[in-house]
Amino acid sequence: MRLQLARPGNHVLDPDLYNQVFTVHGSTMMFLFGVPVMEAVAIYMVPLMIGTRNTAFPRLNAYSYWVYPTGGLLLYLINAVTSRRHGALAGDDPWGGDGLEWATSSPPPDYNFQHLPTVRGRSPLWEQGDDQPVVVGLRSDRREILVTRLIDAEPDHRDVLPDKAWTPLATAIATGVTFIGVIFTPWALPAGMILATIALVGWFWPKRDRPREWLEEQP
Amino acid sequence: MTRRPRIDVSALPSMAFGPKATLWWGVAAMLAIETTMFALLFATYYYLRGNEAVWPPGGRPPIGPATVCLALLLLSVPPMILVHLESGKKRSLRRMRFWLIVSMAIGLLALIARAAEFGELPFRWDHHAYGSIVWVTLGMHAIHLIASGGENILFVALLFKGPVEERHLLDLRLNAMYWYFVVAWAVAVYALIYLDPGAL
Repeated sequence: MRLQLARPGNHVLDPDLYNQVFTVHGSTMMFLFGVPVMEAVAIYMVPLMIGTRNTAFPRLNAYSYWVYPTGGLLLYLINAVTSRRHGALAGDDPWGGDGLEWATSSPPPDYNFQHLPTVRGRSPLWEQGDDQPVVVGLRSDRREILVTRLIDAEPDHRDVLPDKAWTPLATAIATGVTFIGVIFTPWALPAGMILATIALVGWFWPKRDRPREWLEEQP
Repeated sequence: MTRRPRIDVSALPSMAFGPKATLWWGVAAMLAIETTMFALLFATYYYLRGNEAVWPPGGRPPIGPATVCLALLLLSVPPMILVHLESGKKRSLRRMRFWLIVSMAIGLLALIARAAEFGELPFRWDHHAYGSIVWVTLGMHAIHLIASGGENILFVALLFKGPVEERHLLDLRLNAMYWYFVVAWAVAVYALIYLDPGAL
């Protein structure tokens, strides 16, 4: 799933398989990780806390452990076998969804929508007719987003987002190094703040090779 | 899709000031978070105060350096207001440079006074609960002072090195907004620690 989502327009998994893997991932995290990890902590900690050698029914506990991986594996196997044999392939919008995320193809193209869509309510795909307008005129040679007014949602200006840069990565690394460093010495905190500040200033500092469009507006 | 009515946004500007700008909301939210942080520190102060028979234990810290620091900070506000105004309507680069340097320099002097203030504290953070809350409150404000003062230095460097783009005018105004915030909380922190108002 991470590989599929790493870049837009990937084809590691087709839409149908992606939906299956996503659903199984959700079930796994809920029922095969979230619940068992709590029980695992309880089985480990409770005897220590109350001063016994084991829980009340150690064999039953061991049995439940072996049921758990078996059941988990079965969940995956049954899903793989049955969905290979039965059921229609999922398309772009298998359940007639109401949100804009279902209006694009699956996987979405790099640009998501050719023209920025508009909405008139909370369930745009169910509500809109053929006269629902689209937004045109955003530039495609730089990262631009449309900012609307807070009260009436009328278009107000086109905000320019930063270009690709290595400096946010440097900031993240500096932050990570800081958190590891403070385990050993509190001086890692000011040192890390300085490193992160350098990276942030590097991000903020205007680039010389930028198109000189705004320079005409200089004071 | 192509037959649909179109809203053409190509004529819209690429900049907005004040609450129309997304960056303004980012800074406003940051200031709201930090205001909550200071409010929690103040609540902690009064909680500790209510649990102590003698407050402050062992006397209040000397008021001298703190007063100098506060006076300098208040003095740095008028030039910052001038930078704020210049970045809005008149946009004279020369005057923005001048007033920002003035404000930045006074702010750095205030930072030195704050360092002296820490040096004059007659207790450490681990002496008693009062020491802890004073060190933390003053320290959190000092971090804001360092961050905002550093931002002032950065913007002075930017105004001289350039190229100054229109979006930097928004940055300058948000920098001013942050500075007002830091000075406003300096007043409140001073009042809390050195005047120690009892009725709340």
